[in-house]
Amino acid sequence: MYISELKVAGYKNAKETSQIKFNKGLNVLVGENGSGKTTIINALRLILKENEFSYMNISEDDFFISLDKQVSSENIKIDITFDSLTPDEEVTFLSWCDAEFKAQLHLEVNANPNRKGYYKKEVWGGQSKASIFEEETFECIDCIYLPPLRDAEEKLVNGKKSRLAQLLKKQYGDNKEKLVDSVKGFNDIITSNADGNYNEIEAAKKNINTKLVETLGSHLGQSVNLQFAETTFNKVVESIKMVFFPLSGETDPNKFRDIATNSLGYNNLLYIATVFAELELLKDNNLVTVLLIEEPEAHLHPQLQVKFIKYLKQLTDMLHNTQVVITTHSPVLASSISIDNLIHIVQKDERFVATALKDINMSNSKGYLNRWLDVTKSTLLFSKGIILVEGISEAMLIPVLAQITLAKYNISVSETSKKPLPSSLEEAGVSVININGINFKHFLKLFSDCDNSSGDEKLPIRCSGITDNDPGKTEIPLFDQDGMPILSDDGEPQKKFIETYPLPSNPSKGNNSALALIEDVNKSKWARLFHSPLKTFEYDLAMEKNTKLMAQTLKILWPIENGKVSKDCEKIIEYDNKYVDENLLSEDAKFIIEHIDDENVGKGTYAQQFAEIIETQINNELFKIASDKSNSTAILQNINKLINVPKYIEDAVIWSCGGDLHD
Amino acid sequence: MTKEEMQEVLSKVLCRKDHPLHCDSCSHNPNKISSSQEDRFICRISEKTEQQLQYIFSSIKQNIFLEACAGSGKTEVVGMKMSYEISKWTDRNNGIAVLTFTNEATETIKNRVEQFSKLSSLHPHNIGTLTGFLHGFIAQKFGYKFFGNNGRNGDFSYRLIDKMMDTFKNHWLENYKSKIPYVYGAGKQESIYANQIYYDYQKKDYYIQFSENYKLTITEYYNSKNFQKFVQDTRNKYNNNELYKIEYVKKQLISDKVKFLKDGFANFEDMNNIAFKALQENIKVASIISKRFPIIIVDECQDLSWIEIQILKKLKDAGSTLHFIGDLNQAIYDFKNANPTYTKEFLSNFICYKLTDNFRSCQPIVDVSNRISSITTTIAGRTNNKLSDNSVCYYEYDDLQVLQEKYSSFLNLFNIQPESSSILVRQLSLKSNLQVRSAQKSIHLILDAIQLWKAKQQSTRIMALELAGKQLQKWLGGSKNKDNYFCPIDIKSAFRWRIFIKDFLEACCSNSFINNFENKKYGEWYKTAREQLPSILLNTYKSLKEYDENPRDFNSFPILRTPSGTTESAIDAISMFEPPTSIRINTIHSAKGCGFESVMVVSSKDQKSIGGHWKQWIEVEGESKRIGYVASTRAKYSLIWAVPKLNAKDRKQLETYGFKRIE
Repeated sequence: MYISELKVAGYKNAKETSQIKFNKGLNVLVGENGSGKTTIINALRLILKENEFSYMNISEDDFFISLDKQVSSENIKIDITFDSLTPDEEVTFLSWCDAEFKAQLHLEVNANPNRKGYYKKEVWGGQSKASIFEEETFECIDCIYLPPLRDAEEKLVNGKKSRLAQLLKKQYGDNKEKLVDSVKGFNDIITSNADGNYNEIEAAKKNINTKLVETLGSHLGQSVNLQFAETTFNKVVESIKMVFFPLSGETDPNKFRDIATNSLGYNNLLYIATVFAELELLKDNNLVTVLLIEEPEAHLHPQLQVKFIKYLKQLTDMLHNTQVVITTHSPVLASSISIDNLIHIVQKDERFVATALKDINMSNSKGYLNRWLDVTKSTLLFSKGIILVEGISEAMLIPVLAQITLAKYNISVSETSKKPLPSSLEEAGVSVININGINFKHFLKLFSDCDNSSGDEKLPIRCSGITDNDPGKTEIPLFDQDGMPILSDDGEPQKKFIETYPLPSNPSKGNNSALALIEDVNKSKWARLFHSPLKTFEYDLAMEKNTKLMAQTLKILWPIENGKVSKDCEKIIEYDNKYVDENLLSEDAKFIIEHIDDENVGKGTYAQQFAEIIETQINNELFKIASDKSNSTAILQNINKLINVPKYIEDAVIWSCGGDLHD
Repeated sequence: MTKEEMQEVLSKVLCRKDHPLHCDSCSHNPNKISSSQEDRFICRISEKTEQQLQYIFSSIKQNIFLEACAGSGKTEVVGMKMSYEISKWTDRNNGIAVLTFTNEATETIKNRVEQFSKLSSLHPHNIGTLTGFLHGFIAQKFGYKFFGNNGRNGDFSYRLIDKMMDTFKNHWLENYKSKIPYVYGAGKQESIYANQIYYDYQKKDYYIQFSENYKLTITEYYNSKNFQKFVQDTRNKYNNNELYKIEYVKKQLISDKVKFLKDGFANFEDMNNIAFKALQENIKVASIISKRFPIIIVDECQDLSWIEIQILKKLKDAGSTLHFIGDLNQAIYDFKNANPTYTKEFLSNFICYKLTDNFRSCQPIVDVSNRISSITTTIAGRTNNKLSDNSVCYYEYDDLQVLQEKYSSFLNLFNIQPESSSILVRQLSLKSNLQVRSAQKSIHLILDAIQLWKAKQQSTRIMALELAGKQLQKWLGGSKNKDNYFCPIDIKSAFRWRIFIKDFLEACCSNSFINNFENKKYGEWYKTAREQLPSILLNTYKSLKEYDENPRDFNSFPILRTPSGTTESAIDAISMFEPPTSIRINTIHSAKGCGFESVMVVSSKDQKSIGGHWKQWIEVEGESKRIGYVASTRAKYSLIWAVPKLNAKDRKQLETYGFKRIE
């Protein structure tokens, strides 16, 4: 059996009932910070009584409280359902079963503590409170929690929090006597001092006892004995600590050193090895086991993260009764596991929304995504909003253009009741993801119904796609010197194909296959796909009368100073964007585009230089903002004048940041 | 196995005996368990009879009926049987269910098992009441699926509602008032509520419970004279012969019942029906419960109702083994449809074990009890006959109120402690006739409270708080109910209220005018009280004021009147109250399973109520005889029947049974 569903209400950051469905086996929870991943883990720990007698008791902070602290929840409700009980489990978990023989567990806590400040928990099973509930059944579930690794050393040295002690406790199981007996035996030898080897202790004890009798008299006096602090199993195990030697194979105990002298990185490795050894013990355990791991990536280098997640996958494949729930912020981790194991968490309207990627209908795109959701693209799982772009130029320039767009947007809404947006993509938590081509359909299926996929489950985050119009090439018949059409061998007139540079007054139909998705995608709740109205990103940018700045950039990058290209650039710069004739503008745009594509420059280099120039200017403007921000509107207006951002880019930015497109 | 062999095996398992000494001679085994303080030196295993041991070693794979006569020590035997089986038990996910009829019986058996088996938790076994088991494991758990239940906040429990619930304090019941009235005389009508209606699977009809002892099926009620008259009158009035046809009446009442169930309410009979239906509708439910509890031991099986037997039969058919323990001669729950004839039939193919040694009563009492009930089985009275020919007596009474006194002197004569004796009555009404005056009926609240308070006994002080509270709440706005010594609605702290009453009583006791009843008439005392009490009240109220939501100044002080008709009477002294050491008065039903050194069974004056008159105990076959049997077999050394004045023939009849007349 496995936990198939968790419902949480009134707890931590979930005000309204929030629901998450789990897979059998491995579950990897991904999502931005504060989305509710830890709430989910803690809710599971609470209801499964992990660590019942320590700090996991309910406190005031556990109840939902709104950001403005005005509203707080009246009670906490946590419910879990277990699915697929074996016939044996149906009997074992009978008192937790509902009428469908699924096991249900419920926890309710009222926000009014008793006079001692203790919150009373009500735990019940099945579908009715009045049915018999057997507490003992908790013994049939093992819940193990691995907290995020903040300090490996602390977990490896001796003490209560020692992971090592946890491992040893599990390893010993019920056969604790031998260890306890030998420690006790040693203790007895010392205190009895039969062989006369511990005379000093004996002498100290005698002295104390003598003084006691002297001061209190033999009637009132007490006797003392000296011994090791504790000889209970837990205390013995917690006193064992790890030491290390930097090379493997060392056996001389004297050479091992204290791990405090080890590097942080190595201690992390030792910690993970200890955890692995602990998990290895699960293989002999036939209990239903729920393993909760928070952010295992902390301090682990990428290769080790991959190894870790693969190990867990293997473990869950092998142990049918073991379910693992991991939270992570690591794209490395997210990208090294099948998307079927990923569950996306996001905070919406005071609750968390969980979307299992496997429940999203991705039709034929699943294989593609599994393969291509690499480290960079997995970032989309950790973002508040997403802009998908075709290539490197957009990836570099859009974050800069977004600053201008957002400045403009915020001026326009400042007079209205609309909420202003953050001033940059980073601030908005929006990632620009380069998909290296026009395979938008595979990614957009995560957010919308398109390309013959349909379903209710989508990632509930805003996603914009930016693609090029890419008009087809223009056919031109070939003529000879006499102006006669040149014919081919079969007598047909010969043609050549040349690049099209459409004019705003006469746009061409795009030839880009992604354009066919627009209609479906734009009907969806979360995704929009935008295309350049004319040709390509660079051409359309130039056609917004940005040729001056673009030519300046080209001039800087062009290797031959004062050559023809530089001269032509200067002409364009002098023209200062004051075009009346769109043909002329198109000519200049064409000139710039052709030279960007030249092997002397290249799109990437150009985009980087161009971005740097705009960014410098933006920063210069921002620098001028007065400390009381009185001139900020004027500055925003200046920034807005730096470059004309094409409308489709503006729309894409505003959509991804959560703004309104249509007034 | 011989008796010695059985004892040997048992002591190895239960006492972990590790020496060759037989338990008779083993007196130093630290694990030895003694049955009670006075028999400290008798080993509980060695005192067992062969019959008892045979049952302990009986098979748990076979259905068994242990026919245990009164006083046969069956609870001890069940406890030891259970301990023996538990000690050998290895399965963790299934266990034995021991089902009793009262919480006391559950506690007794649990205690015995804990003494023997020394386990901290009895899981996976279940020792509890039959009701708790049938409701908790079956009806509450699965019922919602078969009977429909709209649920409240995800909880699909049924709330148990008494059939005779008072609508006065439970206004919500009005939602379940039927259109069909209860007509019980010309122009005499009351409402019928859904909680009064239940289905009887045996009679295959719905019953309406009209009062504690009066119920009719719908058909019977429809055809009753009073209802028929109502039907005719209504038809005549509206000149419509279609009104109140039986189909309509049935439909109305049943639909009220369905609504009641759907809203999550059920009476006791409904709960059993729900359990029965759940087992009938889904074979899996029965099969899993019988896997969870492969052995079900039912104590006091003679009290099982028809439907309870049907439910247990379902579990038996699904694979559980049943052990029924009880005495069909002690079946006195006819009113809840427990019929020994049917039970006997059900048990006909069970293997029968017998316990025929009565350890409670001496032989004369055993013989007389057997004779009145026409029991032919030879039962040995294993208690010494201490009173020789005075063991079985009868006493003819005129005045019920002198019975206690007479009985006291009888007990005194034979040196029997009143604390270990009891007066048994069939009906509660008779019980109250016997009690002279109880403080509950006090009309001089404050006066009696002060007297009781001065007695400084824990019990008298509780009563004093109650009486004073009852008076004081009238001056402080009134209380909702008698909880917390009539704590008024306005007082926020029940603890403070209690302290306030205490302060008030203390102040009264230290006031020499109030605390003076010597040779006074009620009228005189009340006159003083009217002068003194206001200042006492105002003074003590000071510390209560801050807990009073509606602070008051007692400007118009309410008058404390002398209760009518008492003005000229002399004040009753404290001796008028029931002395704390008086002989307990129990109903026969509540004395089930108990034993007393001496018992006085009081016959009612007439034969109006079933089973209340001595003649019925002797002559009327069925439950009346069994009531007489149960009552008589409670006695250890002395049994007295208190009967109304007899004629010579009746006297002769009683004496031939073996009763000796006492004056």
